[in-house]
Amino acid sequence: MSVKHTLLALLYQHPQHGYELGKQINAVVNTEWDVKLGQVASTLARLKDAHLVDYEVEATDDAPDRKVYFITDEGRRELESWYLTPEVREYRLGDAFYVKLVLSLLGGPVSPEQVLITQRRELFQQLHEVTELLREADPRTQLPWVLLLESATMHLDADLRWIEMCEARLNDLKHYTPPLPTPKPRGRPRRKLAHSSKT
Amino acid sequence: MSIVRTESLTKVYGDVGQPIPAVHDVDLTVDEGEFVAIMGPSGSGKSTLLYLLGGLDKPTSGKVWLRDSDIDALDDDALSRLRRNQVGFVFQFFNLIPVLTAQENVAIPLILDGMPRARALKQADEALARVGLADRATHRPTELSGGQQQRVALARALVTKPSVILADEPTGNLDSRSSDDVVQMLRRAVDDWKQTLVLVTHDSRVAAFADRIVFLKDGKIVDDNRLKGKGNADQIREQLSKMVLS
Amino acid sequence: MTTAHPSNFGSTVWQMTLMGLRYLRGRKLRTVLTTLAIVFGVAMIFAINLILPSMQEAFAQTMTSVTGADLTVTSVSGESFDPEAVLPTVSGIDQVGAVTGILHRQFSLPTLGNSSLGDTAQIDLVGIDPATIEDVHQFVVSDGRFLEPGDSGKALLPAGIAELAPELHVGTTFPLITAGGLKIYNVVGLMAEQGDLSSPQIYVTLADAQAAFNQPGLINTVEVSLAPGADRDAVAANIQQALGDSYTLDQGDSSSNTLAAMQVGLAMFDVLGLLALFLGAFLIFNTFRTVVVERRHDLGMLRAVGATRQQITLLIVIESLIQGLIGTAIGLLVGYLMALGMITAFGQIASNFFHRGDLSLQFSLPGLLGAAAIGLATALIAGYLPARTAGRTAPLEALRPSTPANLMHAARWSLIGGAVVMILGVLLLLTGKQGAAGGAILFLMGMVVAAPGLVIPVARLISPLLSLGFAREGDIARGNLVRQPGRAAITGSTLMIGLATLVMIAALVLSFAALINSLADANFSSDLILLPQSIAVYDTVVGADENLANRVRALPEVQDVGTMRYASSVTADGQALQVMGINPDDYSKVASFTVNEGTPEEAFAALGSDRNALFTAIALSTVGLQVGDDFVLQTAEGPQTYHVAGVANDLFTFKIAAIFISQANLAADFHKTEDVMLLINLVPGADKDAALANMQNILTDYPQFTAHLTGEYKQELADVTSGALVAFYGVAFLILIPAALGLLNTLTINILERTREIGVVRAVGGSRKQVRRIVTAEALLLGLFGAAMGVLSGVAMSYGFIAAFGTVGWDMPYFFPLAGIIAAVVVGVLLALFAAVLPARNAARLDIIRALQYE
Repeated sequence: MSVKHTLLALLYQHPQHGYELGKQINAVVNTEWDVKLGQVASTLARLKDAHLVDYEVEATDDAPDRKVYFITDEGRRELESWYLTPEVREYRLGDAFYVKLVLSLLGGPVSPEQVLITQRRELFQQLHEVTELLREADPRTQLPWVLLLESATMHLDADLRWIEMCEARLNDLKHYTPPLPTPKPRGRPRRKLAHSSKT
Repeated sequence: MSIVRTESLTKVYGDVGQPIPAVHDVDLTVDEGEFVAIMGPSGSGKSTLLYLLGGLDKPTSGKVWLRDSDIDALDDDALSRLRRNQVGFVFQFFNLIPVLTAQENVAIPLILDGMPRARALKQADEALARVGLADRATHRPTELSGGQQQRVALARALVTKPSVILADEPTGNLDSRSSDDVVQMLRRAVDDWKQTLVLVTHDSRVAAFADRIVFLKDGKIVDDNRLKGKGNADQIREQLSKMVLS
Repeated sequence: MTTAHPSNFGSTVWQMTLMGLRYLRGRKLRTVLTTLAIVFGVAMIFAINLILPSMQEAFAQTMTSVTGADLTVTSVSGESFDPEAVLPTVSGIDQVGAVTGILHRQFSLPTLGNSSLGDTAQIDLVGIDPATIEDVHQFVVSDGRFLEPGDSGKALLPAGIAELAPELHVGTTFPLITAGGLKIYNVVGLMAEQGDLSSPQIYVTLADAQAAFNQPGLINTVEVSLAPGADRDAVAANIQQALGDSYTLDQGDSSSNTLAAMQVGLAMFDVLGLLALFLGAFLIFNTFRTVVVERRHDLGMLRAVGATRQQITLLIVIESLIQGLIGTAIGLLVGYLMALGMITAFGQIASNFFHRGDLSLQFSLPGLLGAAAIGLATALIAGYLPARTAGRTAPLEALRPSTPANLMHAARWSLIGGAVVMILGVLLLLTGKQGAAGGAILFLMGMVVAAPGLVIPVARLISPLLSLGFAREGDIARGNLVRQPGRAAITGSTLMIGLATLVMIAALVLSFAALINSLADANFSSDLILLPQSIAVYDTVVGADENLANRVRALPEVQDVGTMRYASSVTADGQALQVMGINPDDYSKVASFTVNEGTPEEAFAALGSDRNALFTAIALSTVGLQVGDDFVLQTAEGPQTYHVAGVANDLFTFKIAAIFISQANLAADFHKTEDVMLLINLVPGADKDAALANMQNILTDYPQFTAHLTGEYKQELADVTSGALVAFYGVAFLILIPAALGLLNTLTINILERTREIGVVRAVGGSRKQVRRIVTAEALLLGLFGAAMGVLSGVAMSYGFIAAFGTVGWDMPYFFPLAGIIAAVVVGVLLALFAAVLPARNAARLDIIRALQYE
């Protein structure tokens, strides 16, 4: 996650000093994203070095002078190109459940169908919980939270649909024979035997 | 207290030579105030089960009780009255009568029951207000969006304060946004207006609104899943944040 | 949970009415087409029922307009009687003030000749007794004087006569037709009263009137005034009791044979109206059957939300009733306008032919209610069957895609059932007269039943013919038609009824004309004939006394003279009969009868003795007697027993209920001695033209008669007959109007239903022209299908009905109606093409995108 671009996006709105920026991150993105003030300061320094932001010193009567940061033209360009660069989604393949399911296919104390049902129960429980939260959330005042929950429902939905697909596949196959690893030939091939095995 | 109860409910379609069981030996009980979703792949018999519960179809064998009446023992007229008074239907398509206004569509079960028209229309207006369509009372179905039509249909199902509302893929024909509106409304029907609801859907996000999800496969119940309350917001927020920041 | 409100049925009905109206508005074209059929039928029936009472009223008015008396007494037979038999009796009854005897008759004046009273077409000649008449009612004389006892050749005219004949004043003279020839009358006075201008009353003394009608000493009306404070009903009852059944009080003359003849003619139109409604019922049935299929989803939804079967049935019935109501309302209006038009037109004809004018439209509430009830009942019955089907719609229908029912099975059964009915019909046809008409109807019904099963084979038979002009479009059209055999069958049946009527009428016209010719040949062996102008209406004719016949007989060219006399009568049951008096010896020399049994000679011989009567076939069947029976006839001399001596028809009487008796009996029992027709045979080799000239010379004194050469007269008669029969073709074409509507309706429905298919045809490259040709080919198939069925049942119906006429005594020869058949096929094809124009154009103009999205 890019703290750098978050700061640029906030400064794009209006010039601010570092402390305010740190506070605002949480308010806007509305996650448990706890960004430390130190991290804000160091990032700002790196941005200054890269000429993406600059600051003016503001004199105050009762406190020490503060640096008010603003975005430079170069910073604006950087922000724009960030917005226009799509985030590449990683496929979250081969998670723990996937392994469990595939192993159950080999045969065992529990059928793969039961494994799927069990997982589905869990996914539905989660989906239900998220849905309930979503029902309480007000998109007008809590839009980032709502968007986040909806994202979760969609992911859970996708998982559930995958499970549905798995069930359908199992139904179609009825009897699944797992592939055996092809034994790698070792040493000299025994010619004679190879001939005789030809049927 | 159980509102709907089935016992060895079986429905077989097709010829005598090649019977295709659509619902097979189903025992299901729905309690008052419950919101049950029925899920299953297409052809699993979920819609057939719903029609059997609502007296739209006759079982091959087994029984359906709605409150205390054994549906099988009712003649056509009594069954019609039961559908009129005890059951509210919401379907995927052909939900409204095109020549009637939204208000009249909602009032039709009351009018069919012989309630004075003015009173029926007044009650229809109240039901429409509940689903947020008070300002659309005089519109014809063709002048309403799909989601609005489905909400009118829901108002029609609510207007008689039935024992059970049966909804067959009510969001099947809607986009995500309208689908959400309709299912929120269904949830409110259970929470706020104390209705009992049985809903057939293939959409997990719709089913997740329910208190209980029944899975059907080849006409048989394969899983009956009672869902527990809402999630812990903080916990979920934390998990989701990790997801975002990862 | 709601409680039931079974008491509030109205709410449901009202909502259903609203729905029905909206559904109807949603398919305007079809609604209009279906409604038109009802409009047409109701309009016909209502118009007829307006015209008939109007005529009745008009006649009754002129008949009864003589008097202003408290009570009037007439003979039941309508004929004259001896005053001594009535006047003393009546004046002796308690509370009777005064009585006076009157002899009056309405009669037409010839349009030509020297006897006219200006523009007067008809007069009511009233013979009064000046000594007693003023005791019964008051006359106000505005100019001149009142009649005095002993006056002769003096007349009192109503003031209104000045409008018709301005040259008449007090002191002037005018000629008047009498049985004894023209007489000159002096106008002695004018009354203040305007009078009825359609038939002005001309008052003369009783003696003059008796002379004019050759009924010395007789009267036909007694006027009675009551003593002050008398109870009218009680007095009337006393008079009735004293006089017996032979006399009647205050009865307007409703047994006019003109009216009876018109009633028969108008009944034809009533039948037409009923047929039109029958076809209208077909249309409604067809439309609603389609509607029920189309609205499967809505109906299923209503069932799902709790509508009972009866409620669904009610919904559809209400919808069809709304159409019935609208159609009936418009039909009543159109019928009123039609009646107005017909009355106006008929008024013209009436004043030309019957010398009656001044017909005004009488509003008739029973007529209105009757027509309305029939129209609504039609809609109700035709809508009920589809409505019942609709009631059976399963709630699940709303949720399932449409599955067209397998109709082939039903089609096969209808073919078998129809064939059985048709075979029964043919058997009945062949058994002979009695059941022939029933057989024809049965055959027609069998055809209707079999129609769904006939659609496919007939379409297959016809389509090679069609492929000559339509190539592939013909095949598609056939497929479309065969897909809905029920609908094609109903449309075909509608067309069939129209075309069958056409064929039948063609055959009837041929046969009827042949019958008239054969009667004319058989009955008129005479050379010359003297006829009053309106031969059809004897009771408004002033005939001639024996002088005319004697003068004719005296002509050197003349060999034999036979005369016909007339009286009206009723049987003991009140059945009106026309009584024709002939002198068998004279008459048999100049004319003959067509007899069903024996020979005409025997028939004539029978009239020579006792009170024997010969009946026309129709008279016998109306009265319900057998040859050999005795029966009681109301005469001017009271009831008399006559004997049915045989059955005899002639050209003038075969279509009316008439009997022939001897002139001796007519004079004795009916006091009638006027000749109303003279048939004359000339000396062999005599100069006909000279004879005719001599005859016309004599007739200057009898302008009520005209002389004809019999040959010419027969020709004239044949022309008039065929002219009248042409009107029947008009009737047939009127029946084709609903048939055309049916075609239009079916084609429109078919296209609506296939909107999406037409869209596909167009989308994959079908041209507008091809779409139009498909629809036209379909219409042609339907037209030919209807024509084929129409020709078959038309032949059966014509055969059956002509045979059936045999049972009323009309032995008509059967002619195969080849011209009618050709006409039916041509008309069927033309109707189909005509009906196809609009739907074909609509189909071709369909917007492709919208057609593809059509649900």
